[in-house]
Amino acid sequence: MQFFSRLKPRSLIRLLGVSACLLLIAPQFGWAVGTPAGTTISNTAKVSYTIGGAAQPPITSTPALVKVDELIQPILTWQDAAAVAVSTPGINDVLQFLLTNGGNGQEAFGMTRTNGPLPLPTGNYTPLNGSIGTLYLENGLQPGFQATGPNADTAYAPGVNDPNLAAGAGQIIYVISDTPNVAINIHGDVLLSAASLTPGAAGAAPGTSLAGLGQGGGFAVVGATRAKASATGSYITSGLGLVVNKTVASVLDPKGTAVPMPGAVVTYQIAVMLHGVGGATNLVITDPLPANTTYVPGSIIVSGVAKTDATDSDNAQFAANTVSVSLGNVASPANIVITFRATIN
Amino acid sequence: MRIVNLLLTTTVLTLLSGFSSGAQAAGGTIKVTSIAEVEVTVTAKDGKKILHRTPVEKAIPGTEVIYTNTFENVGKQAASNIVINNPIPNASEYKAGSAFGRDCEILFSVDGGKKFGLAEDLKIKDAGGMERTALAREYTHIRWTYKGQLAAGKSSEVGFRATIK
Repeated sequence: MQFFSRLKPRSLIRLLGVSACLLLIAPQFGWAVGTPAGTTISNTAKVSYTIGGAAQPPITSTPALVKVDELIQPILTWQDAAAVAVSTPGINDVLQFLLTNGGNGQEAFGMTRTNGPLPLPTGNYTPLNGSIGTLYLENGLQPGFQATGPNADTAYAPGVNDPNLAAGAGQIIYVISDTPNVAINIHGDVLLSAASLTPGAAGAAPGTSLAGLGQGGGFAVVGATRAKASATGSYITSGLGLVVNKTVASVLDPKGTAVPMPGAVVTYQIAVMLHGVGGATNLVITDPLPANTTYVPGSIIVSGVAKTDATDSDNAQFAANTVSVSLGNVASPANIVITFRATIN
Repeated sequence: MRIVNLLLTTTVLTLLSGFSSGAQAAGGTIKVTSIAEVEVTVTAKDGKKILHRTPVEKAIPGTEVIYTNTFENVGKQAASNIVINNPIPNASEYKAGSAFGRDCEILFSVDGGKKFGLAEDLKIKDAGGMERTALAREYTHIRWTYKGQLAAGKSSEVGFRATIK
């Protein structure tokens, strides 16, 4: 009688007044999948007795029959262990959810997403629908989200491929989001909602019984969560910030002064700063030489270490009139200074 | 209110069929019917909560159903040695301590009705061969042995509660 206690007496009476009141009596709305909807439970008693010392033929009662109705009980959970780190701006980042049919009959569910559900916590940003799509259904071929390829998951189309789940079955759902250009280290939430597609079920009061709409032709009974389920997943804009500043560190002209004139040698400095939490992978800095300048051979210095120009084992080279430095995986925080020189033509 | 009408009609039909099967078993003089009910909490106008029993034909898993077997001596002679054997219905779990029956010895079985015993005497062997006291949900049958005679025209009832799995 759990849900009765949550109702005001007046609404209880109103509920009892409806014709389906017999079905409001379930003592609990369990999460576990129970006896399949449509099952007929039959009770019979067999009686043996004697009359005047003589055993009589045993008698079996007519059966008391109870048909098991379908309980509609979706369960939705967000599966990622923690907020998913995203770049800002960024595209097509994935949250993983699991929709489970916690009822006892086959049931189809419609899915909707709400970006930045209200009330929006202070400081949160609102994720955007993903560029490649908003929701995807795991097709079971390969764990994790695949947008393309032979095992590509299925884009969700409401009314077309709504998850239709057997009792106890589950469907992994991917929420795909783009990230606007916002501050770092802030959260963006997406609320995913599932609602039973049995007409009249979603949003109805717990215990509402829908004649003939349950699996097996019995009643469909709305469970404690009103035939709906929702879960919120969270992104966090990556705390990793990369700042690259290029400056002219010095100019030395042929007269020994600092006038940028033909023949003057300019020392360029590129400061790479990585801050925040995390690390950058495969970080490469490339800098095409400015027009009307000529590279000074062997002038690349990375954090105080001279590098060769050749494309070789060291991580810097000059090729195609471009200075490039492969920094590889760089853990934050990091400060890397690259300098090279060029002569003004 | 169509459903209510339907339920009433069905109930009447059930009763009628009960009578007819009793008639079919006319060789005997005991008539037995089994009914299924549930308890509903109804809040009265004065705010008091009343437990009300009502027949049930449809229910969801987790529902506790009360089964009542009424046996009546419709003959002219007293009946003796009345034993009522009731398998726990399919997809259901017996509720511990719920069996009732006035002037009856109530025993249970955990082996499909071969052996009967008091609740505390019923043992189950686990996978390792260790014996333990059976749990109520492992009961397969209930048996009532009516003490004494049931006079002509008299009736009595036995029953139990079971939860739909």
